[in-house]
Amino acid sequence: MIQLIAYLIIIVLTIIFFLSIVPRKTKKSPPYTCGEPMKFEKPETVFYKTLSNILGLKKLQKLSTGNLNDYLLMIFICFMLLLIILVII
Amino acid sequence: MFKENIIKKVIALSILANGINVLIIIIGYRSGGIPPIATPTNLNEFFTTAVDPLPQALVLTSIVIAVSVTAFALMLCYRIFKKFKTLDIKKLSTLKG
Amino acid sequence: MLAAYAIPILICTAFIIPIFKNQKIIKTLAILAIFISLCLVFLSSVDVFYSGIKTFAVSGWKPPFGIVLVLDSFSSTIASLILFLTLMIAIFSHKLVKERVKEFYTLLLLAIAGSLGIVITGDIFNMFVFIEIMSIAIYGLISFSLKKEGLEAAFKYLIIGSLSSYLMLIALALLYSQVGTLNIADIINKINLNDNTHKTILFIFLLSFCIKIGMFPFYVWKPDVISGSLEPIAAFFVGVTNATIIYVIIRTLYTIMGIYYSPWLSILAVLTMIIAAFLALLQQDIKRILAYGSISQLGYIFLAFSTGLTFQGVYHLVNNAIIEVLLFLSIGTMLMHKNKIEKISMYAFLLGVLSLIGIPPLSAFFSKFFILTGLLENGMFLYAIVAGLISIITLLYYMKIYFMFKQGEKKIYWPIIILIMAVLLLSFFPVWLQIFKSVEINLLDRYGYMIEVLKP
Repeated sequence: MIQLIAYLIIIVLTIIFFLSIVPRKTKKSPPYTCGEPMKFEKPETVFYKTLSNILGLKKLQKLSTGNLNDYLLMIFICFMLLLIILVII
Repeated sequence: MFKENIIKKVIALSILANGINVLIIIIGYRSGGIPPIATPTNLNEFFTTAVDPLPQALVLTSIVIAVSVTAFALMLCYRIFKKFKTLDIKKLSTLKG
Repeated sequence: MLAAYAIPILICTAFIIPIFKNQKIIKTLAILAIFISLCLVFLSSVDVFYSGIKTFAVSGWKPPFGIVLVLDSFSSTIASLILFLTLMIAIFSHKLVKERVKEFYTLLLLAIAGSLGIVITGDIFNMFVFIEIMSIAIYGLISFSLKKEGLEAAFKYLIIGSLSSYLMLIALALLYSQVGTLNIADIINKINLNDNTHKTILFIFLLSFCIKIGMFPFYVWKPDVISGSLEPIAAFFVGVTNATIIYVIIRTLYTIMGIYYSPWLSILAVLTMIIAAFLALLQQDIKRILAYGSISQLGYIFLAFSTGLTFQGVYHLVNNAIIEVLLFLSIGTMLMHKNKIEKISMYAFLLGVLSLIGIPPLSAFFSKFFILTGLLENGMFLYAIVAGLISIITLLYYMKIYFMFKQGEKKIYWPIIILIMAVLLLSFFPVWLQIFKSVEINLLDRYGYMIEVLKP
């Protein structure tokens, strides 16, 4: 029974997220501040930006530069570390 | 393997492949061994002291595979040079993130 | 055994194709060859399901002295799966490939011949040879478009893929020096996991495949490679190559080593899942989002396999392969015409995305549901909660793609329709439950494998 309840909660949460991301209609005349029209970002881009700022993901994205040498260095070091850890345990 | 020039990377890959082939041959060694060629006269010596012939068969296949990979890598380097006009690995990072 | 004839058919067709100059003959020959191989392998797999493991000794040399081709139910499932997916990709690229058709179909046939060889063989050096055949064909296919991204992606995959193959060869050489045989069934006989040397060698073997497939610390190259290749080739790479390398890892883990619960693999799988899902939120490029999505689903599959839920893992593997191919092919049609998008491709993409997120009654919902219930039954609540949360994040990043497209006119692509039907077919889970349970029973039985193959 626990599993059914857990999965029902997950389904309800997904449906709530799904409905909240649907974009709403924009107004026809833009509001003014300081004499110029204000620019609104779309609600979905705001959502993704706040989420990524909360989770601190920019640092993680810097791990995958385009450079092949960085990739090889990371793969080699992690391989050696994992091998040593696996054999000791 | 961490050099900047892509040709040097391909050379490093080729050296790695050859090193592994030598490793495979060494594994089949028996101390005081003779080459594994069996003629009808030396069958007794063949069974007792010959070096193991199976790794030598593996290495034959492996050399062929290494040659084809190196050939393909060099062809790719040529195409990269024609498109990017450089052989530097740092310029080769247009896909990132 | 009929399936043993499939590999020569594919390779011979690959070498006969460059003779012809007419494009239509080449395309029909290639599709016919893949279709005939699919029929042979499917008939053999039905035979295997009813009557145990089938072996075929090449040139009559009995194992353990010769190379033997083994079909048990896991091999036959994956073999029929990859041939079916390649058939769909070959029909799809019928319209996409206008120039240099010979090279494309030759490389595609060689790639699928290599993948089929990996799945069928029972000898680890033969597996290395087929891995190299498949890899070289894929290096050629990724750089097929000869644009900047394609060449760069191919070079990255070449260096990293060759590195992992040579690591496997090192492990193979050391294993031969310890055990003395190269036949998989014979290795089961002679390996002793308490010995530290054997354990280290097999871990090097496993980690080299984890590099090749993109598990947690080694995933950095994969999004670059997938987003730099053409869409049907990306579909082949994510669907077929992933499935075959997962097959090799599971064969090593379950049959050779006999480890059914491995905590380190489950930790790696969960980390893969989490990090790939979070990184997918930041991306602006559609193919990179799909690539990170596929890495995340890979984490699900390994989580299932490493905590003892075998048939859930197999079900999710099959689902994931078909759905990823569907997603990449529909993205292919959508990106071909940027202003007017076909409705069928849009619905196909939505179907695949909804299925992967976990909306009932689609197919991947059932596999994720079984994984979650299996985890909760075994008492691993942390993994279950993490798996559930990652489903929600999967929803977020797939919906990001949805906002980048608009509706358009109608056009029909047959492979996409067939794949949609396959996805809907897989959601009738009681049928697949029976089939995959029998696959599980066969997989967990390593001594049965050994006895069947080494019969005199």
